[in-house]
Amino acid sequence: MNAIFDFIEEQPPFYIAGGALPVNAPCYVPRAADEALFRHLTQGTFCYIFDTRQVGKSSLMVRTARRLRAAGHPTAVADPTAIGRNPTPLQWYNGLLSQIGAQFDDGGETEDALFAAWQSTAARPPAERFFHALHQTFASTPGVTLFIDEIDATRSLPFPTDDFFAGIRTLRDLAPSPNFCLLGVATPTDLIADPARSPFPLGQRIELSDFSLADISVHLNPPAPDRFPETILQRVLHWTDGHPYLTQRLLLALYESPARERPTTATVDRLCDTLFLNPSAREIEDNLAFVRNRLLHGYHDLPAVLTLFRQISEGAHIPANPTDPLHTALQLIGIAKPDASGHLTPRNRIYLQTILPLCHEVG
Amino acid sequence: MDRPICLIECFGGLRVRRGEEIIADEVGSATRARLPHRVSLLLACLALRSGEPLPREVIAERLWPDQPPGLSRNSLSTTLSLLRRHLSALDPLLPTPDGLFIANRDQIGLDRSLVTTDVGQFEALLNTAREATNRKGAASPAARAALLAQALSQYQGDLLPGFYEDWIDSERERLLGRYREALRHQALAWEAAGDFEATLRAAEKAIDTDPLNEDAYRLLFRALIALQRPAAALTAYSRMEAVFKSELGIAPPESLQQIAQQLRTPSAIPTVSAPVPISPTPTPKSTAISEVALPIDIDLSAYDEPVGGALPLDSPYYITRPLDNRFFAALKRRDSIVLLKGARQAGKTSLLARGMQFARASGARVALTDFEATGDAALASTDSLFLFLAVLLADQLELDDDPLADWSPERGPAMNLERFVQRKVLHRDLPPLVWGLDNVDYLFGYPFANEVFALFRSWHNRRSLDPSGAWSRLTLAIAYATEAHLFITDLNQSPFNVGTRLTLSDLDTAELTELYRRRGALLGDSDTVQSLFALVGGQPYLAQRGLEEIARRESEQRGAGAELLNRLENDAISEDGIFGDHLRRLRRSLERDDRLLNVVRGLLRGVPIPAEDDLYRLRSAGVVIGDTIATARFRCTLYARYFARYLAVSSPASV
Repeated sequence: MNAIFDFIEEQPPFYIAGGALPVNAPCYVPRAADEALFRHLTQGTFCYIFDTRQVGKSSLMVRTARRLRAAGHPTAVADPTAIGRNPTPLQWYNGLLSQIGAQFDDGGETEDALFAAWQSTAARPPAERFFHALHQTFASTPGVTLFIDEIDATRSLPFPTDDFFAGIRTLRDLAPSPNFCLLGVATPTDLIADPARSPFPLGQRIELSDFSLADISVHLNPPAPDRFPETILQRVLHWTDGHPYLTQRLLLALYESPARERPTTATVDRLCDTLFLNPSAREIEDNLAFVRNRLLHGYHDLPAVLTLFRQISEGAHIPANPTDPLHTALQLIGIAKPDASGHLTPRNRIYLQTILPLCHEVG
Repeated sequence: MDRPICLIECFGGLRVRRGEEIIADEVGSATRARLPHRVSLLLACLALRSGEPLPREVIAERLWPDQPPGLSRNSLSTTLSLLRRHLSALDPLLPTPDGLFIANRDQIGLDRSLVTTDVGQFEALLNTAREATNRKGAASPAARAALLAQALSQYQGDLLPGFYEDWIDSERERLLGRYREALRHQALAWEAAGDFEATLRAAEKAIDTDPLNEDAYRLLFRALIALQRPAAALTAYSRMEAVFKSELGIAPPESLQQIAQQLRTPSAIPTVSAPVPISPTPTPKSTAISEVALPIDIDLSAYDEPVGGALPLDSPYYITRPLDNRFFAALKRRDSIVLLKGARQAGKTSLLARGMQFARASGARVALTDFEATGDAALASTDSLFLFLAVLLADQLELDDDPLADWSPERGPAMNLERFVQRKVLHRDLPPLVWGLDNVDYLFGYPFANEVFALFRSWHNRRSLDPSGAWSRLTLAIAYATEAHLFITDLNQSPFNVGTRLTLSDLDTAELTELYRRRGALLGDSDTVQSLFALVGGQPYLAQRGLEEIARRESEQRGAGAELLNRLENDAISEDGIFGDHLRRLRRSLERDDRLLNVVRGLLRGVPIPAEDDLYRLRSAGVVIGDTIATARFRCTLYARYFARYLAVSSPASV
C-alpha cells in the first residue's frame, strides 16, 4: 500500500498552531496568568478571561482544568457553541447541563443527579432549573469549578441570557456551590448590561500577556538537534512580538521548511511574508481573516477605531484606558496592546503592516 | 458454461461485486448491503474453497465452534438464507432461483459457473506464471513480469482483515507467503527484462511486506546501481541497516555489506555490472502481454470516469503520492482531525477510501459519510441531519443501540448526537473510530452547517482536555474542495483551522510518467508523457483517460504513441472527443453561474480574475489553479482551448 521508504511513522511537529493545545503538548508556554487563574479558582473566586482569538485562552483553560482535577476540585468544561445556533432556552440550558454532566467520570452518577434535580422543577423557567440542578447536586461537593468557553456565543442566541449571568452571581451567595470561569471575546457589558445583576464586578479578570524572548527560548525551542539559534528567535519576535498564535505559526513554518537546519533571519522574513504579509496570505491565514472581519464587522464605531489605530501606529502617546470602549475594541480585535509605559501600541509588526493599509482604504 | 456474474473479494476485506459495483460488503451503504459478521464468515468459508462444496457440519463447526452440532446446523440454515437475502441484488441475473449456491442436505458450495473469487484468480494466475517460467522458452521475462503483476494486483491487502478465526489465520499466512514470493519473482523478471525502474518498484514492495528480506534488498540495490542512483542506494542502505538493527539487533548480512562498500567507493560504481546492459529509458516491448494467453480475461483498461471521483480500490492505476503516507501517518497517530483539501477531481475520494482501508487494517473501526449522497430528507433540518448521522454510525458500526431510544427533543439535536457518540459509539470497550466525511462542502450551503462544525470543533477541544477519554478514540477525516472561510462565519468554531491539514495537488510529470509506465507494456516512447502533460496538465482524471485512450488505440495497432497523441490533441477539445463528456459537464456547470461564466470569458481575453472569491470558487471547481489572482491560470491547456472554442462571448447558451 505504501512505498517502503516513506515509513508511516511521521511524528507530529513540535509546534501546534491553532486550537487548544492538548494537555501533553510540548509547546505550551506557561505565563503569569497560569498561576493567577489557578490560585483564584482554588480560592473559589469567579474568574473571566476576555481577550481576542488565538492568544491561548482555551489552552490555559484545558491546563487549569487538569490541574484543578489533580488538586481534587471536580471540574468540567462546557462550550455553548456546540449546543447549536438556534436552540430554545430549554435546549440551551439542558445542553449545558448535559455537557457538564458528561464530564464526571463516575459512571453517570453526577449526570443522573443533575437531571433528576432538573426534572424535579419542570414547571420553572429553564435558567432557574439549571442553577437549581447545579446547587442541588453539588451542595455537598465543595470546590466544583465549571469553565464556559466561547461565552460570547450567548450574544447570538435568539433569547436574552441576562438570567444566566445573573444566576452565576446569585449562586455565589449559596455556598457551597460551583464556581465559574468564563472565557470569550467580549467585554462584561456586552454580555449583561445591568451592573446590579452582573457577576463581573465581583469577579477576577485574568489577563494574558504575549510571550517574551525568555518564554520562547525556554518553552518554544524544540530539543536538540532541532534547536533554533537565539538570533532566529529574536527575528521571529521582531515580527510577532510574542503573539501566541502568530509566534507558533511562524516557528512551525520554520520547523517544517527545508531551511530548518540553517535558517537565517532572511528565512524568517521570507516565511513571514508568505504566511502573513503578502496580499493572498491575508485571505488564507485565518487569524488575519478573523482580525479583519472583527475589525470591519464588529460592534464598534469603525471610523473611530481605524483613526485610533492610525494614531498609535504613527507614535501618538495615548495611555491605555480599560474603560474606553475604543481601546477595548482594539484589544478585542487583537491589534493593540499597552506597551511597557502603559501607552497603547500596535500589537506587532504583522498587524501593523496588514491593518494599516485598511485604515487608509476604509478611513 | 454461463459467464460468472459476480466476484467475491477476500483480500483487504470482504466484498461482493457485480462488475465494478460493490453490492455487499462489511460496511454497507445506501446502495450496498452490509453483511453481518456471521453471514460474512459463511461467505468467506465458501469463497476460500474456490467453490468446492463443504459438508454442513464442517461449516457449522467453523461458524459456531462453541455450539452443539444440532443447534448450529439450524443456525447455519438461517444464516444461509440471510446471505441469500443480502445478495438479492444479484437475483435478476440468476438463471435459477437456487442462486449462487449449490446446497443440499449435506453440503453447501458456490456455483462456480456464476461466481469467481479474487483468491481463486490470484492463485490461478500465479500457477500460470509458474508454468510459463518452467515451460522452456515459453514467455519473455517482461511477459512473465506482466503476468505476475496481474496476479499481484488481485492481492489488495491481507486476507480478510479483522477476522480472527484459526482457519482464516492460517490461510492468510499461506497467501501472504505466496504474495511475497511473487513480488520477488516479479522483481527478478523485470531485472531480466532490463526494466530497472520496474525492478525497483517491485523490490520496494517486496521489502514493504517483509522488511528483512535479503533477496529483495539485493534486487533493490542492483536496480539503483543500474539506474546510476548511488546516492539513493546509499540512503536505502542506511535505512536497511537501521531496520536490521532495530528488528534483529544485528548488522545486515555480509553480502549486503559488500554492496555498501562498493557504493562508498565512487570509482567502483560504474563497474558494478548489472545482469543485463543498462538502457537509459527502458522501454518494455509493446507486445509483451499479447505473447501469453491469459487464463482469465481481465480488462486492464476498463476505467470510466467515476461520478464521485474515486478510482476502484484495486485499480492498478492509482498513484501513491507522498501525501498519501502523510494521511496514513495522521490516521495511524489517531489525530483528532485530519483535513483533506483539493479541487474537484484531485483524488480526494480515492485517497479517503484508501485511508479508511488503511485505518481498518490498523485495527480501527471505520465509518464513512458522503454528504453529497446524503439525500434531501436528511438535510431538511438540523434535527434530521444529526439523527441521520447517528443512525448512520449505528448502522455502519453494527451497534445494537438505537439512537432514537434516547433522542430527547428537550436536549436539542447536537447534544443528542454528542451523547449518543460519546456513550455508545466511542464506548471504552470498543476500538477507536475513524470517521470519514466526504464532500463536506456540500454542507456549506445549509444554514445548520455552522452547528455541525461547531460540534466537531468542541469534540476536538474536549480531547485536548482529556487525552485518554472517549473523544481520544475518534478521528474525523474531512474531505472538501472549497475555501471554508468563505462560508464559515468563525473558523475558530469549526474544525477547519485545527488538526493535520493536507492539500492535494495535481499529478506532476514524474507521477504521470509512473502512470504511463503502468500502462507501459502497451505504450511507445516517453515523449508521449511530456506531450500529454502539456495538454492536460496533471489533472488526474484527464491524465488517466488520455493514457487509457492512447493504450487502447495502440493496442488496435493504429500507430505509435506520439503520433496517436497528435491525433488525440486534434480532437481532444471536440465535444465528441474522448474528453467530451467531462468538458461538457464542466461547461454546463459554468453556464449555470453567470458571474463565473463572465470571469472565465474575461480570463480567455487576458482579463485578470476580479475578486479573490471568484478565484477560490473557480479553483475549487477545478477550472483554474494558482495561489493568487496574479498567478491564476486555467488548470490545463485543454480547458483553455476548449473554453476558447465553446464559451467565447458569442457562443449560444448550453444545449
